[in-house]
Amino acid sequence: MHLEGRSQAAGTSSTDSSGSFLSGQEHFELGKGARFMVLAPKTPKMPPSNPKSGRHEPAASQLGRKGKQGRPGNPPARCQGAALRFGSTRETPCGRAGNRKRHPCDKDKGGEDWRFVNEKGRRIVATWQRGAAGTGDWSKIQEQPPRRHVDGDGTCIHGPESQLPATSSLQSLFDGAGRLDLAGLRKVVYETGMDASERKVTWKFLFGVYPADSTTEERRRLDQQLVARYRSMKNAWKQQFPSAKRMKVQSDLELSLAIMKYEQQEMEAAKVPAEHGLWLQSINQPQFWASLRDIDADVPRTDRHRSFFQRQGLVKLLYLREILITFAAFHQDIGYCQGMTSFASHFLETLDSEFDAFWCFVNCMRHWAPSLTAQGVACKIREQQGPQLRPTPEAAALCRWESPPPPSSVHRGQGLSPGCVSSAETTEELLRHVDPELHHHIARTSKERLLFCLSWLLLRFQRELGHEDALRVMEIGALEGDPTELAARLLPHCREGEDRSAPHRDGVSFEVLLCVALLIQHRQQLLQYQHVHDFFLFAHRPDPTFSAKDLKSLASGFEN
Amino acid sequence: MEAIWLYQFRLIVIGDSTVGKSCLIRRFTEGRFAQVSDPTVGVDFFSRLVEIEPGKRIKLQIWDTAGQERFRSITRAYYRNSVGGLLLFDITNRRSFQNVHEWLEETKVHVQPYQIVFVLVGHKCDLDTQRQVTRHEAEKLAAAYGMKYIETSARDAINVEKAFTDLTRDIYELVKRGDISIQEGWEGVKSGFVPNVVHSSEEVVKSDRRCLC
Repeated sequence: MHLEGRSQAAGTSSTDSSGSFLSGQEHFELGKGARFMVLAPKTPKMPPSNPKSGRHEPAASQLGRKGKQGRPGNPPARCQGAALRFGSTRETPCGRAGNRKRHPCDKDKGGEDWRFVNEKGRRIVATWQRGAAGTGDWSKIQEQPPRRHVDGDGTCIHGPESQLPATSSLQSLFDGAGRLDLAGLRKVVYETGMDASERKVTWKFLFGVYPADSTTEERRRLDQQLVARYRSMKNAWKQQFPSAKRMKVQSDLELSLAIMKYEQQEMEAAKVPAEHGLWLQSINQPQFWASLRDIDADVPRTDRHRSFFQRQGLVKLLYLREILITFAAFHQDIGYCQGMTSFASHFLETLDSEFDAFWCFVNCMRHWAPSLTAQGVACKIREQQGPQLRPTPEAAALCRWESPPPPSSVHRGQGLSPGCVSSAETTEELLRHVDPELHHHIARTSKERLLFCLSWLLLRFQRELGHEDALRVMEIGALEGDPTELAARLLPHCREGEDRSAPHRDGVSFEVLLCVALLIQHRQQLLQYQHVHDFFLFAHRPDPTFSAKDLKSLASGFEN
Repeated sequence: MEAIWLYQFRLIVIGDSTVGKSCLIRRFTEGRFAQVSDPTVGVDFFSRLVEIEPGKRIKLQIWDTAGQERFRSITRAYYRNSVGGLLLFDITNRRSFQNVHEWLEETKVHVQPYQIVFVLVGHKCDLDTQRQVTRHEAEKLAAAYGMKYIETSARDAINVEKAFTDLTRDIYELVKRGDISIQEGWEGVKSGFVPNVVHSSEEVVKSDRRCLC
């Protein structure tokens, strides 16, 4: 830890009269190249959340509005900013940078409490207090002991609050009985993000596993029920398809050893009498086996290099597999879609519990999976292929749900409805609006236009951004609800007579905004490209440094 | 160096999930092999120049496609604008071989009115001990559909160059003979830029500034 270095660096930062850091982005070198960023708490035109409704208002809906400063419901100016801060922090074996961020909930204290977090695990390594506004004097309050690693075999259930670090300001969001101020949480999530240790609790609220108004005691019981439910779901497919139990691997010694180890663990666990599995009614067997084949093909190539999976010799990849199979078996309308592994793996690593990861994944996929299904994929790119390449009615028919989806996620149109707004379409519309020159250049150079962004949009940047940033995009994505007003403003045909709850109505979602902002941020580079190949190469390896000033320029683009 | 080529061919690489499409293309275009690679979602794009005869270069635009069924709505849109294709199966995975027929049927429907010159590729030939498809039966199947058959390995870089250049050469011959011609609105074959030689029958297109090899 280079705490001294950090405090020194922090003390040299410029401050404004209110004591907030002014700079948009300041990097400080610490020790052996370790780096952290100063997060600018005060940036105009940052997308606020609406604490009254408790619903996050996606950024773009605010960007088109003038005079929104001081609008009722806006968070105090000093809490703004830092919302869309992405550092280039891919996981590296050593020399981690520290990242400092301020929690808005600390704002009422005499000074300002700044927590120093280790970027690898986002563990709080120390809390420092900054003196009266503008003085820049720092005093160390306390140093946190290293976080105890809680192993995620899912066998022990903790009360959620007990998982929080003792000093976590998140605790102030719970009342005496343990009911959460969800609006407050959403605000914190959007503005500053979560620590790794906090995510274990907060994600279960964000992804809808816990009701916000549940008490600690209710959640303890709920946890028990969810664990039992997941176990019986897992038993169901294992009993019905015994040969699916064991993963089939080819020439992968590391994974074969993991399977043996896993089976040993399972045998130990089986000594405890397991409840009888549910019986899968009318399961579509060919679909189950097809999902299983794809899962077994994709799991071995999912994040296996990450230390989380390496730690126990890839055994956790097998938990990942069971999460995905159980999901596919009980969600036949969706099944397994390639790309799901990225999300499931991030849930498993973040929550470090198979049960929690499963239920968060289920809830998350209720909203996101439609865009990964055939129909959703077609919808994402609808406008990109040009009129002659749009899916034929036959193709569109093939893209429909394979079995009647639950009413909550039913897509009421047949095939691709005329009102279908694809992410790519919206992205392109937005880009055309904000940066006509760049849009024209891309359209001129690449017949496929923004197709190179497809993976970004489908997988919500889970592959392209660094791990921490990818998690950030996930949790911000969890805040999003309905399509935003911006879609209606930009695309007049969406205004009336359409079902806004249909899964294909992406509107201007966060990933669309992020996509446009990334393109604009790299516009100079992109304007040089003369070949479609360059765009695809860029999309594979975007420079993930993404700063709030891009959103600002995006906003000014709207207003002009 | 200026990128100069006679023609630009658009190729498509198809086959079941995890037969190694992306790995084969990356080996060919980037010369490297990644033990673990993410599944392709939708389509991906690669490009490389190949020299089929001294001084005669062809630019290949290679579309990599997702193997999973649900991405077909995207991938099938790319059949029509391709002149050549590599149809991959994994020699250690019998099912992927059995699906070759399905893939050909699928392309036949969506490529009309054009046609694609396919080569059948038995991939992962370095795993010979786990082979589930014999060379003989693969050759027989390829012959039945009028395709060539080649066995490749991206890991050991076996026949990767050959698979692409042989296909390119075959297409080149067909173009030279006039069996395949450049057509307006079709991306399969485009004429390139050749200094000091102007083909009267061909449109001369200004080449890209950047070298893509």
